[in-house]
Amino acid sequence: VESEELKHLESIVAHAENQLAIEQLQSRYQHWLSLDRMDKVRSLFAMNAPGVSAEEGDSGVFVGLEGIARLYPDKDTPELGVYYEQRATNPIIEVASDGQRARGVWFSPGILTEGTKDIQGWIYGKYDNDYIKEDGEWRILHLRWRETFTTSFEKGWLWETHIAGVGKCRPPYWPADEPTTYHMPFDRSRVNYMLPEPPELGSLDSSQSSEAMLESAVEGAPR
Amino acid sequence: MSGREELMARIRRIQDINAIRNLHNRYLYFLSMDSSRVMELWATKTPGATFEAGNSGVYEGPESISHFFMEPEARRLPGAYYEFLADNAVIEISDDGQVAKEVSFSPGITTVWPEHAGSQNKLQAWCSGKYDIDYVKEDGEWRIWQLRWRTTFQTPFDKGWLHQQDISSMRTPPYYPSESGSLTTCYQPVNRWGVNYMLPEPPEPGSVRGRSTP
Repeated sequence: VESEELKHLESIVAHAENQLAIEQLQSRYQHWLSLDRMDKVRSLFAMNAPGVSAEEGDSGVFVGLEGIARLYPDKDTPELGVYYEQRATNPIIEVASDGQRARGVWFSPGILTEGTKDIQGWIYGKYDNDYIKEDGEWRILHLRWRETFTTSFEKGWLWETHIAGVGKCRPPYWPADEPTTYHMPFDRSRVNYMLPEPPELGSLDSSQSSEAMLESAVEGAPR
Repeated sequence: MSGREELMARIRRIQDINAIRNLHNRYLYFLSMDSSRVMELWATKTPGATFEAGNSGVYEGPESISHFFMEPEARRLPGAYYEFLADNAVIEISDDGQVAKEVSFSPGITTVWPEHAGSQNKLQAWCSGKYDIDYVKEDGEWRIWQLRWRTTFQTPFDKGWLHQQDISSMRTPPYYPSESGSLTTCYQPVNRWGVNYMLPEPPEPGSVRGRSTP
């Protein structure tokens, strides 16, 4: 009886640990990204899932570890005057009951600086990420950053939704492995229903979404 | 370690992380509302307590730290308002559950209005920085031990960090000099012409495991 109870307690504890571990994982991503430490950023992605991918705004989808390395490349020399700080807040994290997969949706405010181009601005969006546990460690499986706006400090998002020349839909990043899946920044002339919606309670345990997620992890590799 | 003991250790770690998050958030609420109360959150029994913000220099020991937080009457004048947040905290805890380290981003706002001694008048500003905090447990309660706020920028509302990186120096009375203090350890706001490697780095997993109470 005691071992049954322990087992039950263990599953409750593991669930809480998973939530915290995913928050820490995502936070590490934000810190290393802002430090431009791409070696560290890449190390947070799944190593054994061919369908691992990342997408930022209208960058297109970068697939596989090779794709991840193109989106987050090491730089020979540090860029002067550049500082990006993309944060992730207000997470809704759903962990599958087997504790092996998870999804997290976050708001993401931030700042951008490209001093030599005379650019300072606000960069807002949302993360829609999938996570997977590999050898007991949580990793990012799919990272999607949906852009709300990237606007200069002086103008604001009503007047400028995306600063020209900023972003990763250009060389040396371009071309991505697959086209952008969704990109609909704020627009002053339309109704703004900024996806993604937060994941519903228990949504990762519907057989469809679990399978779909694993399928995309296995079959999403570039062909 | 038995199954039950191991489970208890895991539960304690979850409790520790949640307690540290609440402690830091409480600090932020006090800072924004009545900064003199932050001393309720500081370590008083562990030697080596410090506070440092921007280029303030290092305030050493509870008495010196409280001097910083009690001093600025300007904070309570009509029109003054400060709000510093913290997010994306990366927290690492020692195996014995007595020591912890946190790094987080810290956006905020500052409002000085209108006739505050020693500062520019009519100032509203965007702030951005990073927290680098060490915690200790005293009598079973987590406390702030060493807190550092590293400036990314504090810029006037209408200028931006490209054109002005800080609104004023902390090395001016009434803040500075602190009698028992030492020099600023790191002050490197964002620089539009330079390499911006904004320290601190987040603590690596397990990097605080072997540490024990100072």
